[in-house]
Amino acid sequence: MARVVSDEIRALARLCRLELEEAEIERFSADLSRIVAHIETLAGIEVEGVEPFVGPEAPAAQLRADTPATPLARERALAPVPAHDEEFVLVPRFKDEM
Amino acid sequence: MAAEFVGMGAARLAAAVAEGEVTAAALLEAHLDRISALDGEVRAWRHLDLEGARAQAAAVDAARARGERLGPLAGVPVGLKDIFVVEGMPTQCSSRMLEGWVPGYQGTHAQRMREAGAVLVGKLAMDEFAMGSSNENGPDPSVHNPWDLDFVPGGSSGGSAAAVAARMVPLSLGSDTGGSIRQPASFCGVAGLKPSYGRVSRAGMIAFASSLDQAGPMALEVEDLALALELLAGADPKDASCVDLPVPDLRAACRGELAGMRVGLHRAALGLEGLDAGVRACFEDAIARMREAGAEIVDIELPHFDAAVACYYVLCTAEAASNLARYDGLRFGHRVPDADLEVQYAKSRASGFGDEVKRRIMLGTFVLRADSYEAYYGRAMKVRRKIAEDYTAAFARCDLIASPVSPVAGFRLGERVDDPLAMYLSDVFTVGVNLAGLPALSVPSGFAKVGERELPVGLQLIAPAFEEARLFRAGAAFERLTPALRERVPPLLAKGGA
Amino acid sequence: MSLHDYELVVGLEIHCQLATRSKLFTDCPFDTGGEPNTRVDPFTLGWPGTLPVPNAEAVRLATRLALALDCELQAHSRFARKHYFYPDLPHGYQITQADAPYAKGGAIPFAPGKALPLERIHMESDAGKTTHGVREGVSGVDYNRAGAPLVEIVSLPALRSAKDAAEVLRSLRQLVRWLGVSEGDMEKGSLRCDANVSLRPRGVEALGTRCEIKNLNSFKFLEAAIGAEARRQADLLDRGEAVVQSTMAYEVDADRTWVMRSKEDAADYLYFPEPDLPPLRLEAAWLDAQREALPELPGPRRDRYLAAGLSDYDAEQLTADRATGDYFDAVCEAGAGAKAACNWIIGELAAAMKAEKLEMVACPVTPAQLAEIIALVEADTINGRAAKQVFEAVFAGEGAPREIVERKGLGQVSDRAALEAVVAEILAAHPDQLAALRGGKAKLRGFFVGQVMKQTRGRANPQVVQALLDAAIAER
Repeated sequence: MARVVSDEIRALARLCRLELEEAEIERFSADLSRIVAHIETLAGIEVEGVEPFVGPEAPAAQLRADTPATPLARERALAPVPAHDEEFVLVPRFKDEM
Repeated sequence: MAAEFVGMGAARLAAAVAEGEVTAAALLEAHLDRISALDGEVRAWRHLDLEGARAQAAAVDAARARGERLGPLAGVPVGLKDIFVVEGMPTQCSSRMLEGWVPGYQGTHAQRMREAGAVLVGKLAMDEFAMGSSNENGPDPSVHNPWDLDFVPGGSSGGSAAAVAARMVPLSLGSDTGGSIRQPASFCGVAGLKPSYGRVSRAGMIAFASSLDQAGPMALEVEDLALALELLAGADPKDASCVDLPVPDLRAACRGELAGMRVGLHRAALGLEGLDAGVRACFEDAIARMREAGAEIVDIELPHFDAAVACYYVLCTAEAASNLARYDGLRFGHRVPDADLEVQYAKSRASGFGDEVKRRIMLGTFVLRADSYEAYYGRAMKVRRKIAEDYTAAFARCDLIASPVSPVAGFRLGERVDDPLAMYLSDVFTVGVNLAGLPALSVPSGFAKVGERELPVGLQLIAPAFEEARLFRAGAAFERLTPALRERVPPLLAKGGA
Repeated sequence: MSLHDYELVVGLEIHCQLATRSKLFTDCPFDTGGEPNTRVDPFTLGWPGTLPVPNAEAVRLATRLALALDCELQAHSRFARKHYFYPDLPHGYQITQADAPYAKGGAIPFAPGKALPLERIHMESDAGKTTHGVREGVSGVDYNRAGAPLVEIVSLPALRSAKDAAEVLRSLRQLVRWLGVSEGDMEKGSLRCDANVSLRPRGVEALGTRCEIKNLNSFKFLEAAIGAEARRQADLLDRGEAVVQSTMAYEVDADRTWVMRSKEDAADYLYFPEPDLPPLRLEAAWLDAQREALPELPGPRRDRYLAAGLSDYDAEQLTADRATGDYFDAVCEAGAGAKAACNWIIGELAAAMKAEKLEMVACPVTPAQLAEIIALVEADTINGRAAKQVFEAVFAGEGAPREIVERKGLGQVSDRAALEAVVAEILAAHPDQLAALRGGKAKLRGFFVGQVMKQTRGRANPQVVQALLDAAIAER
């Protein structure tokens, strides 16, 4: 049976950028362990050779004509931004390595 | 007096406005009176746009005075689940993460409702990011079931269901990812439709799980759902997954009969552990009524029925973890400033999201990790195909499938908050429909005892993809078989505002 | 061991921005050069409730490129989400194609008989741009570029030299411009290259551990960076140390590479199929039509010119871009000989265009006009010198060639009697030079020809003048 240990929870939390308190880590560890155990019942289903089902498919993929619309005015684009100046969305400096 | 119109269906109200029996303005005020009388207890509304609604109502009345042709919902007060984007109206998905966000663009649903003349009254409460079955998830006060204030209204479209049940609006919009329209409709004794995947645009509906989400209407009468779906359905240049299929005359379908329809019954599911006896009795009674009305009841098999919940929670949490990655505190929404970007991300997201949302992001991330992808996500996508194929096979034998909506008629506020797995398992009757992309209707079918209390119970009807017309034919016919249900109102109304 | 004892193995990952008017998944325009955050819309910014809708033109351009590179186009492909948290990535994921790209295989021809085989090409959306230090400790993000359409061309590790890598990139740039698929401008970033570099001892088959050098934005830097990385890896191997799989950056000034991050801290991108987008289907009939619509490609065109008797150099010049070759073909079509047409185009015409900073498509001399000038020369109606004057006049918009010849009186004088008189007069006027010429100072021939031309205002037929001079010198 699955046991999602605290260290794994910490690694997951880092991966999805959630700062968790110790109590939360304990709780999520217990919750996820039970849920993952239930999910693992899927292992009992024979799926050899079955094509993955990504989603109900539209009969034809809708493509769009290459017609540019009017972009947002910058004030509107920046209006909901928590930290911005007249031009940019502002972020704390970070290690640029992408 | 406009008050007498409160409690009537949407189509009836639109006709009343069109005929001049009542003005849109008076109709709005009467419904607002109801809201102010009852919402202190029900708490269905997150945001009321009084000024905007009054302006829209006045515009309808002015248009009528000028002799203009009115839209099919002209003057009808409508509420939108807080998941729908309405330009200029706070839209928060009941999350602290979107505190203060006022969308700078118009969503498709709000636009189509407005074009039909509907008066958008405001935003309805929900579980945070539509994750939950009880309306207890999120920073806001819980919604109470108008039939019994100690009970939850269901979720995640609990506010949308409660507002209709309390006759605060005749029509509301909800969203359904795994049962979020049908289950609260059942709990609150109203009708709710989850359309086929791709029938209604998702543009302007905040994403929870993209391959499962569908918007749909909730109302007191099945025919109002048909009217709303006709207005909402159809291709949208802003959603590539929304199909360009003609929408049949669904209101005409509502005049059909049950006689001659083959209704599939998956008997094995009725042996489910945890299926409440009262709910089961109610369902069996509904089957009997349909048979009496001339429907042919046929047995069907859904061999992977038991796998649906596990499959669903793998897929929906993965998609949710992905869809919620954009909430990073940079371009909109909640932010906890820090000099270190990584700390800012982690603090902003940890304090912006509630427990259930965090739990699902973690689970979704877990199943998507490169080293567990095949065992969890990859496998679930394959199981999903098997589940979808089960339905296809079943529909070779029947026109519709009937089932309960939820194993229970309801539960008390706080009763299940500490047991997420039990909460998930109660979605057993609804999630398969979303996995297969099918349309399904929840229609009131009776009442069941929960302890000393009595709560409404819904009947679920499921059709093949894009065969909503069958649901309306059967659902409206069933409604005509149970006229007493339409007459019965929550005790709260008798006591107070009504 | 030294660098010579190792074999260099290079693979390229080239990002090429497609020349559409709107972004890959939204109708927001993305022309470069706009003020920060003025080419954005609700989808670009990741506003809740917005969804991607693919741009048909991006699909067409991507298909066109893949067909030209002889890839296997996939009838059915799918987009995927690649997740990472980064300020310039507004959704928290990039929409790309992972296990189901739209094109597989193919190759980039880069020299006669040489081609770099490809693994795949896939479509994906671009990220925004960050400016560091807009104020102390703060960076500014501009989302104009976010969501711009890209194709990523992934090669096999099949190159053996840094020079070839640069050649591949040059050929690809030529091709994307040729096809109208991309601006292919490395400076503006519409063509960007990463290089995977590894070394293996000569004679060994197994590939060594590779490192990926990111963001090489010129042919020169690509070549230099591969060289620098090869040196670094050779030094490690010589010291008996292992090469650790890493992502590298190239420092131009120091001409060296350094480790940005190693494989151990590689992120888990949580790839999964993009649920907002149905699969992309390319219909066979549509693909056939796209194949039909492909222009003649640089390679075949070069071969055709060589077969027509042009030199390697000439063929190279005429295929530098598609418009030049198209122009050349039109001049030949209008009756001119290949060599004469080529000389005019890469000579006078190219110089005039360069002086006026004109693109070939805006050439003021029509192919028919140039062919007419060439015909006038060949018919001895005008001489070479007059032809240049005619060309300049046509270029300046003064009219049709024949008209200009007449208006300006540039017609060639080939009449022996008339020219004989002029020659006699000139010889008489310069007895000293004549004596010197007869004495063997051959250079003075030119002087006399020049004098005759001056006298006839450039109209004398040079051949006739030469013949008359020969006769006059011989006679005494």
